[in-house]
Amino acid sequence: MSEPGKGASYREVTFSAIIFAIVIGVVMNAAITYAGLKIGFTIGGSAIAAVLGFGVLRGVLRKGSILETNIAQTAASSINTSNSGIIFTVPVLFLIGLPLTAGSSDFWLITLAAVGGAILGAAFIIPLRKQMIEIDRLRFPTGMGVAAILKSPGAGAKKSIVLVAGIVIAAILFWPNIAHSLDLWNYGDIPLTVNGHKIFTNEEFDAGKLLRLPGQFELIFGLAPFALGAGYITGRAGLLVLAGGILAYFILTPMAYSLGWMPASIDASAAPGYGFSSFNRPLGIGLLLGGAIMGVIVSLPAIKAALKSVAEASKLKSGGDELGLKPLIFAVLGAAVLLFFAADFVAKDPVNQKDFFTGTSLVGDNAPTTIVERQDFGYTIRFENDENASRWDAMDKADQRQLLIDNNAKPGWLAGLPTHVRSAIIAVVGILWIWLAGIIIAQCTGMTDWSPISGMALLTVVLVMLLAGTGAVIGAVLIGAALCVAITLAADMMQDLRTGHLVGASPRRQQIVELSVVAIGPIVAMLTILIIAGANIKQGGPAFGPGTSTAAPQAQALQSVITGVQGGELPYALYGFGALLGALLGLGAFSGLGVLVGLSMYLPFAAIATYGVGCILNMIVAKIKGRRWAEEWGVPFAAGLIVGESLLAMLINTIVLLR
Amino acid sequence: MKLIGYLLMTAALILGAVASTTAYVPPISLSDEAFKNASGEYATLWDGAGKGTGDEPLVAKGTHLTPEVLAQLRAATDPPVERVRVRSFAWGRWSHKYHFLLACAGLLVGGFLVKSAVRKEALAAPATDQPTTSPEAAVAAIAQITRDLVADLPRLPAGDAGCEEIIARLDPVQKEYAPTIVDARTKLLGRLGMGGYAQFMDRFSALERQLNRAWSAAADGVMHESQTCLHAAHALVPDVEARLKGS
Repeated sequence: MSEPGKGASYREVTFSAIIFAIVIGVVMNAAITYAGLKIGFTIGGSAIAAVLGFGVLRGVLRKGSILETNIAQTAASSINTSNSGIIFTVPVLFLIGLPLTAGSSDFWLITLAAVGGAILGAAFIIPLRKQMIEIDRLRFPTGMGVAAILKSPGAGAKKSIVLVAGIVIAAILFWPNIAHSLDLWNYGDIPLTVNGHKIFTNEEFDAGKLLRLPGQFELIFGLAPFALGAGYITGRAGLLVLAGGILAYFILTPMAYSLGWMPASIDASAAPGYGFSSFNRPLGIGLLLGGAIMGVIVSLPAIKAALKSVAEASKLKSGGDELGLKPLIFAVLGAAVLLFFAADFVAKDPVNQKDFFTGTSLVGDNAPTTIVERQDFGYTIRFENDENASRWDAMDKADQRQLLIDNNAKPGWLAGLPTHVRSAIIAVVGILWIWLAGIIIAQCTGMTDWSPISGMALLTVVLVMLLAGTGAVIGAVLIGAALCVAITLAADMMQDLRTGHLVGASPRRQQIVELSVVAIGPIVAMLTILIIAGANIKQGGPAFGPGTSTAAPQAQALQSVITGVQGGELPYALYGFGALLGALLGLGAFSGLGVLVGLSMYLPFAAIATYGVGCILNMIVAKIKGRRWAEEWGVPFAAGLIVGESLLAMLINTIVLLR
Repeated sequence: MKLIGYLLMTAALILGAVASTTAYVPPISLSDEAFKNASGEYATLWDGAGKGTGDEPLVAKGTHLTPEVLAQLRAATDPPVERVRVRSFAWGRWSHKYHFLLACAGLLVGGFLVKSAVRKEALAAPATDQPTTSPEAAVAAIAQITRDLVADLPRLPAGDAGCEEIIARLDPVQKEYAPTIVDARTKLLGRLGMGGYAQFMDRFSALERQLNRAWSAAADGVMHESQTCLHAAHALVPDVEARLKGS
């Protein structure tokens, strides 16, 4: 028996782990960026990287430890994860006619902002980890699933078999869902119809139609083993998500339809979709926001204790297990400077590509050589010539303002401030908002595994456009990209740190590794976007969107938000009422209640229904076999379901990419 | 009292959400003046209203709701138009504003009832000595396992057998006692307050992480690391016990 502390050091942060992580992370990032632009969703990398790390570090190299594999999956997933933030936001610029090229400064500024966001996301979780993982003990189902994979060697052969069984069953269940990407037989080909309505699509099972429920009631289950597994790991607490879904889809929508609160043109079958976009989703986003703010207020003592603990640990000579507050402070300052410069530079971009008076194009090879600029209402406005600029000067302020509004460029709240001051305020507000959005996302993924990134991106774009003006689209997308990258990374990192806690990893080492590689992800994703856009344009089509193989569905959704803000079509009051309800819900025994209910109103019912089934299964198993059995055997199986879906999706995406 | 509080919160949430859905959907029975925004302009239709010929609405999306347009909508009979969706919110046009305020009051009262009931329950909960139900007993059991393991380290067999012994002894900590402490959050919050609970969980998590690391190292067959972690965990035990007592 060796003495404590003697002998070869326990493998944790190693050269092989880092190299493996960078290679796998970059490959996953590029592949999933392409697939995400094509099919509209991305895949988290933790489970895939854990399984691959297991195979390579332990299987092939035969020297990997549990903690080394954990470091590898932490770094690989952090390189991969930023792609979902990028593909949600950046392609929207191509869609609205503001293309990016490798030679344009806007491309590199957005990349810079995304890198800043990545660093910020990784830094903000330093105190959040302490609060949410150690004090509040959120479950982070994927993190628990990945821990089950990592611990399988020590947990015994039987549990490994259960894990593998979960993976195999997930693959069998998920194959007919994703097979449509390869034009193969899928769930949508099941010829079951009721009154002419199909019961199966490739992704969903419509139980409502099968049970002949009235059309305004939506009872749809997503055919997704991942959701089932995540629901099982969450257990009873996840039922609140199901309750919120019932409120949205079984009370609000049918009631609004029956009472004539929807337009006459909406028939029963269209009511759930109309209800989702017109009131359920806005209320859900508001509830998320209010619930998170109340959560922060209620948790102030915990946040204080977390900060104190992190600060005390950083004073230790060895640094202890905590990274300390210095990296957080440096990251915030660095990101603030990056965002300031990016916002300041972008603010000088002209608001118009055509002359307001003559409609003459002011960009491209045929642009006039006599272009004149004016700085008004916080915008740089360009004119074809001096004559048109003088015509602008001669207009009174109200008419100038109206002309801008008519051209989708309503001046923002900060329009009267000098450019640098405005950029500084936007940078500070952006960072505060990233912090709050990070908390919201971390709470959501911690409690349920779902991450409302699109809702947060929507609010970010709205916020920046309100501050800078509705014409400041590039600025809004720039901050939006930074935010999306930051919050997706924060959510992913929290899952990885939860895994780390369960296997006894040093959070300090995990965070140092993450901060060291986190900038790679946004650069890879941005370059991939540029390559795909270039290839599409070379083939004579648009860069993205309809008519290309990369429709960028998420960016199309954001485009509709931007045009909505420009056209004054956003239900601000519903966000506010939702926020008030969310905050008041948090006054009860559980401060995160508003977040859970909001999340369930925000998500499509198909996702939460399957998730809810997982929660109920956990309760049934616990009732029959006891809680210990449900955890000990059920969690590895549920982890298998999560991993199986991720692995198969990754495999199919790779085939799609190669075709 | 807790059940009443939860029921009140549920009812208030439903009422508040239902009331909110009408924020942009005023009844057209309101006066023409009510459809004027603060700017003096008439509100604009967000969606088409009424049923026209074919699939077309009677009045198209984006139309200003001038008195003439409102009269046209009020005259519609097949089907009649009762409400329209407008782009701008106005307090005066919101038909369910008082329901919403009532819902807010309900959430406040319900939240208060739930919170005070939970606090009372936590303070009145009888202490048990079962480590699977009582956080105090669970901490004591974890402390005992840690102390025993550290004391027995010199006597553990070398190699895989020693590692398996560590894993076997730490299994109950991971599977039963630590979850008991996590589940007792409400009870502990009631006793220690949020600040005290946070301090206790901070220290307990440090202890738990060392034990988890000891488990992982043992599973990897790295005995010396496992021993180091058990010693580190052992050093944290008195602090965890003290924080649980609120000191």
